[in-house]
Amino acid sequence: MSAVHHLVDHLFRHSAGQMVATLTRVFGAEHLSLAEEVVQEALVAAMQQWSLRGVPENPRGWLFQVARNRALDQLRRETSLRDKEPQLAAAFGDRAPEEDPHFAHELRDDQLRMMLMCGHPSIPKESRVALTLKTVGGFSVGEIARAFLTKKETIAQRLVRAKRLIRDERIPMEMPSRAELPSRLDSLLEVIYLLFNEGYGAHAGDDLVRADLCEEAIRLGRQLVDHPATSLPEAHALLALMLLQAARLPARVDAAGELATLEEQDRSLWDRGLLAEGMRELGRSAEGERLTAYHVEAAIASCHGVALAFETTDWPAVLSHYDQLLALKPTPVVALNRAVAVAMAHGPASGLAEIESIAGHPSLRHYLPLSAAMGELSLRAGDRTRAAEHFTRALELPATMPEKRFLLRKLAQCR
Amino acid sequence: MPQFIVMLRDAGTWPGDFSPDEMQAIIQKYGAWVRGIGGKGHKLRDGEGRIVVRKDSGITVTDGPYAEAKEVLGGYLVVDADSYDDVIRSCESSPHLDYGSIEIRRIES
Repeated sequence: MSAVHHLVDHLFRHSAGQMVATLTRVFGAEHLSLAEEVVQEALVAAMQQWSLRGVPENPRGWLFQVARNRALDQLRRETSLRDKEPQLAAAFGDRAPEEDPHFAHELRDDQLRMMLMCGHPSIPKESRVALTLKTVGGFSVGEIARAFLTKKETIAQRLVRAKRLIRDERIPMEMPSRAELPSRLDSLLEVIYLLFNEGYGAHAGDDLVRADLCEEAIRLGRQLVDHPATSLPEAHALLALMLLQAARLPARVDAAGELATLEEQDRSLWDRGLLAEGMRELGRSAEGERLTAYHVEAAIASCHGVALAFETTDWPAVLSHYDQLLALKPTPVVALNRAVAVAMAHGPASGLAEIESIAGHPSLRHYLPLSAAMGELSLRAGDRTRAAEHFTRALELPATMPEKRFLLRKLAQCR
Repeated sequence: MPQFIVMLRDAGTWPGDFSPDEMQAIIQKYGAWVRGIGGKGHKLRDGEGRIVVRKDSGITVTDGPYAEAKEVLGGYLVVDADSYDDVIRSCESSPHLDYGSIEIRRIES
């Protein structure tokens, strides 16, 4: 990639979402696609001009200028938009956002409005996620498709459906009322949580972690807690959860590219900066009257984060957090994780007994972690034959390559 | 007499790393909060407040309720006073202004 390409790519990730947000506010939510086109054109223009004449002194300011001029052209062409000119001039000042604190402030507000619009509860969940990645994160349709291991056409359809809903349901791009904000924020937090989990727990293929998705989810989470309107305890809790989990990512795959369990991980590889930021966010989340699942999941992650060694993990604390989580989120998957905590706190036999009580649940029938956990606990309990059965069963399920190699390694230990 | 909450905010910078003790302190704060939920809370009056900051030019007071987003709550006091002005006067000499701002909100009675 040439230097210019690289710079444009970088600017794109950081500026496209901002420019689209501001233009959409000016044009109106129903013209979201038009705003995207304008920004796309500005980026193409930048790429061409800069390759020929070199990169200008203030590339971001330049980009905003070009987008503004292209937007003006659009306004003059579309009769219905002609009266928006003063608004456009007011929204896109003459200076780059960095030089104009007021402008920077407006941009931040626009981005939040855009995030809240993309996360609107009237839009189906899958479309919400795709739209957020596209318009806020500056991901291309192809990138989103790769991230979700699905076809470009599927993503394109989800985007079309979301935009149609915005138009037909007249979903505006504006700050919800104070009374409405908590439920709108919940819907947005759900989008960010899905995004993070999709990146964190890749379901198939070679990439164990699609780091881009995790990074984007964390970026959005940071934006929420940086904005006074959405800096609420549950937003801090979700950010804490993501940061504390992401801190462990560098150790999840070892030097040979193999999956490393929590027990095997080289804890010196954990990102101390993310860990500290995550702990700070956990501290900030402990306010208000509402304990959310994000709070409890962050608390669980913090128990691992502060343990200097696997052996010194405070398992009784982990278990009591899981008890709370199960009360808030009574799903078989949470019950399974809780059973593993039981095993760690009270021995593999107790853990296995817990798992057996939930193993028949239909949603766990093809769930790889169930068979893997039963294999591991059987192995710890000294029952190699049953352990081998469970690992063999796990190997029949779809898995990432590192997961498959991990299971084969485990199976070898059963002999 | 009306009651006000005086919130001490600091600049929100954090060390790139925490010591095990610092981490433990956060976990304890979280635990205490979880145990305390359901305890008595106070409702702050919506849409109003004062922010007190000390700059080179002296004390400045701006209308709240939002302080700088980057700041975090470091601690708080509940005081009885007749008006915002009374509370502001008693905050002007606070050493906390060396580190950050003070936000004052009236508690709904």
